[in-house]
Amino acid sequence: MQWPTIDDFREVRRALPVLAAALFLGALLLPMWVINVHVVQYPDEVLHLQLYAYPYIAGDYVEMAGLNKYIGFYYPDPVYWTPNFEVHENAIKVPEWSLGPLAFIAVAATGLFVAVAPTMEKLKRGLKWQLIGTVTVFSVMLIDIQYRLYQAGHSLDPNAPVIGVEGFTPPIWGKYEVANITSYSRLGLGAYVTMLSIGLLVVAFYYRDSSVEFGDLPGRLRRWFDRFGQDASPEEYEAEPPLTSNPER
Amino acid sequence: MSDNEHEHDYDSEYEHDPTECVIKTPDELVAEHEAELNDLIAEVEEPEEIEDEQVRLSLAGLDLGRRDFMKAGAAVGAASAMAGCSFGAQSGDGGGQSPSGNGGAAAQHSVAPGEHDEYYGFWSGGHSGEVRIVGIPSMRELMRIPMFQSEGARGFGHDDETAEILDEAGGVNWGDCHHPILSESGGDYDGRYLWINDKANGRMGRVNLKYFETDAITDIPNMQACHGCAVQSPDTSYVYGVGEFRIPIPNDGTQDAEDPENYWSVFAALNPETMDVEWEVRVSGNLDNADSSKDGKWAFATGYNKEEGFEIEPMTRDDRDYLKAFDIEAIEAAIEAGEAEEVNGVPVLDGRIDSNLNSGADPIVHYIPVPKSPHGCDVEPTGKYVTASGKLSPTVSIIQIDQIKEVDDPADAVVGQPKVGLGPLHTTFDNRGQAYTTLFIDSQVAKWDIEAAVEAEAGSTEPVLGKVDVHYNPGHLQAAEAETTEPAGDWLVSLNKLSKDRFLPVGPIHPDNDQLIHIGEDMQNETGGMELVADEPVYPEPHDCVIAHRDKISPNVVWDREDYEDEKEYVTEANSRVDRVDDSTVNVFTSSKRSEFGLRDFTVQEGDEVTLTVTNIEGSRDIIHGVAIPEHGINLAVAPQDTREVTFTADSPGVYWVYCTYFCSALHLEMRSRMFVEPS
Repeated sequence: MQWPTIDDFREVRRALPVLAAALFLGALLLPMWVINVHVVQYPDEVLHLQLYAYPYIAGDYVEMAGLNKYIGFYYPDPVYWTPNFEVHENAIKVPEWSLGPLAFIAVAATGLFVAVAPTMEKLKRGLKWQLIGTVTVFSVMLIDIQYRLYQAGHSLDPNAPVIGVEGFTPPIWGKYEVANITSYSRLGLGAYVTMLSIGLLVVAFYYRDSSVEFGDLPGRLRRWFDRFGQDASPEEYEAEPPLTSNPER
Repeated sequence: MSDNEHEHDYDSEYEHDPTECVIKTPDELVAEHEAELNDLIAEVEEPEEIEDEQVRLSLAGLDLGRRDFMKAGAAVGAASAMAGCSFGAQSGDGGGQSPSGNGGAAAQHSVAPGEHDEYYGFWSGGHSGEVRIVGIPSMRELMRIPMFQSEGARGFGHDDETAEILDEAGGVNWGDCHHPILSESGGDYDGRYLWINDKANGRMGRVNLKYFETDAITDIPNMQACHGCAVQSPDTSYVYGVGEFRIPIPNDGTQDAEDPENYWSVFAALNPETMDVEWEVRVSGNLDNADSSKDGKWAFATGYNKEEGFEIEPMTRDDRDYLKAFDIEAIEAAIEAGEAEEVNGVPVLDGRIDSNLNSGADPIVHYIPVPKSPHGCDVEPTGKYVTASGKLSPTVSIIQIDQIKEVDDPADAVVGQPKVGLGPLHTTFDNRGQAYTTLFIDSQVAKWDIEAAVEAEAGSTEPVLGKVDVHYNPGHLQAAEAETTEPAGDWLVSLNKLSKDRFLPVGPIHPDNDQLIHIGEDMQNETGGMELVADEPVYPEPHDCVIAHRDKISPNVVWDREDYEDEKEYVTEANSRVDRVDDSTVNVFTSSKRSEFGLRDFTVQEGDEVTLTVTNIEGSRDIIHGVAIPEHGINLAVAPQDTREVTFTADSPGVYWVYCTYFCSALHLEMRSRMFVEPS
């Protein structure tokens, strides 16, 4: 058993999983999903909702709940967590929302675990499986969210006052119209941070066989761009002298 | 209770000629002469107007009104082709001259200075407790008629007689009025009376349209909230008021307040002349809005609480509620047969769904199931159908009236149920078989074809011809003449509950927004030809209105002293005087005219009960004189030829200037008298 040294963390393949882990945790503090709502009766304002990875909704959630109750559309019940919003007795149950933070903490913890792998062999294996695992976790999460959105939109409370509103499926990204309400869903900052984290894991995986360090990255990047530029505009490339690349260890 | 002061023989109502009682002063004679001269000069100087009139007449000869011609022209984009004609822009706006009123383009709604509107709109003032008069199509507010509370400008509730109306109606100095309804003769507005409900206190008030003044208020027994109201078509034999809130009867704390069986909701029929309640029918559930069939044999009311719940959840629980159809002849027969129980002085029939009177072959109330919590209840002009607007259902239910007695299952009388949009609240009609329904949730007005809706499948959107956005959340809507058998089909008003951003902000309490929509042209477009032409900010909160052609409303512009000769003295200048009745009672009589009171001063003793009677002896319209006495709360508004009385106690010795509050002449400020109150 040999722990990596501090110096080892100058390597991208060890440092990025650590950075990703930090970002995964940071993402928990940011909204994952935002919905901007346009309602005829709110002519000079747009209602905003910000949903988090844990059962918490910020923004005009009280106002929206007031509108949604007429058609019997409720915020999901996270079951194991007391959210900041009021839970209606006929709301659909989405216990996995309570587990949202666990998923983020788990992928973050795995990242740290992989980063301190004692051998190169284990590190490489760890990087591969962590990437696969993380992508799997978030893919499952997305599929689950879309399913729950479908479920919520098709579980309108039959006891709601207004009848005649058809079931609907709010998209994770896009526009949807229900009754007189038009909503635009977009990803929140937390989701972008999460995507960035996954991107870092991809980069770490990409350099799993390489000891490339952070200081090398600008050069790598330039070379990559130049190659890209070569494809795009060869005549420009010819005017430039060729660049030397750093030797790999 | 009723006040018979201003009741008149029906036939003589319109015949009054205001010039009969004109007493001309030298000033007026000069003014009149000047006016005549001006008219002469005007005629000489403005030949264009005469030309304009001729063009109109020649068009009329083609069976095509100028307005129609202009509309048709505008519709095909050919308006410019007429630019050379004399009825172009420079004179087209003066459409008030033509009988059809609104000249110019289809949606031209402005009325030029000095011109008149084509229609009278009678507006409810909501919880301002008043009725308002609005000119259509200009949407200018013309007047307010206080009804359920005293008011300073018109002095309503300040003189003895109107104060007594308020006192005898329960003394609650406030009301919440929703639905103005006009008296009818032969199915058409006859311009005699207007009634309006007081939801807050279960009352019905009446405006005498000869004087545009509240002349009676009835506190309806067994009713806490009178919501919907309607006149019995076609000849106004009854005025109907419906009880919305279910209340225990008697409501004196002796009933078990948790037992729904103890709660009543009644449908009341009032005598339009005496304002007495003739009978009531107790129903299952509750009552909301009402209307009459065109032949008067049926009255209808929606209701939203079939469940008889006390709270919102049970009230909205079931998917069905009932439209109640009251069989008026059956009700009258049951009253005649002594089936009624007298409750708080009114004969009441038990019309609950399972009552004896409803069990036989000839039920007095038919319960027709419609989707839950229907709101508006409107009979279309031909009288074939009554509609129940869905509110919580996106549909309007159409009930064929002549089927109500024919069908075995009451639900079979529902012959159409178009899906019009979210939150349908009220429906009104044009003269072309089309209906217009407000969509509260969608903030739109939907236009749909009635027969197409009957032929279509239930829930079909096919009959919908178009929708127009309104701003925001419309409640009632009303088209011109829509309660008659011959609606005008040109203008429609959407009474929107919220105005939000439509006007300059005036603090947190916003005006409502009543929007004028032109419906005179049917078009194959998104709105079906409906065109929004005007926003009108209104003081909160009108609910409903009714719109009558100006030819049907002919108020007096000065008082006819014969109308009160048995009750009040007409005080002339010569007869102005102080009569002492006894040690503590004194009657003061004074005339008023420009710019003096008949009494330059008068003297009473400290502690006297003073009855001041003031007659405005002017004969010319709009020369109103007010009578104010500082520190005594005295404020009368006395119109020409009118007499008002007010009684007060003179309890502080001193001198008080009696002055005129209406700016009546160049010497208005000097128009004063002194009241001396001598120490006792």
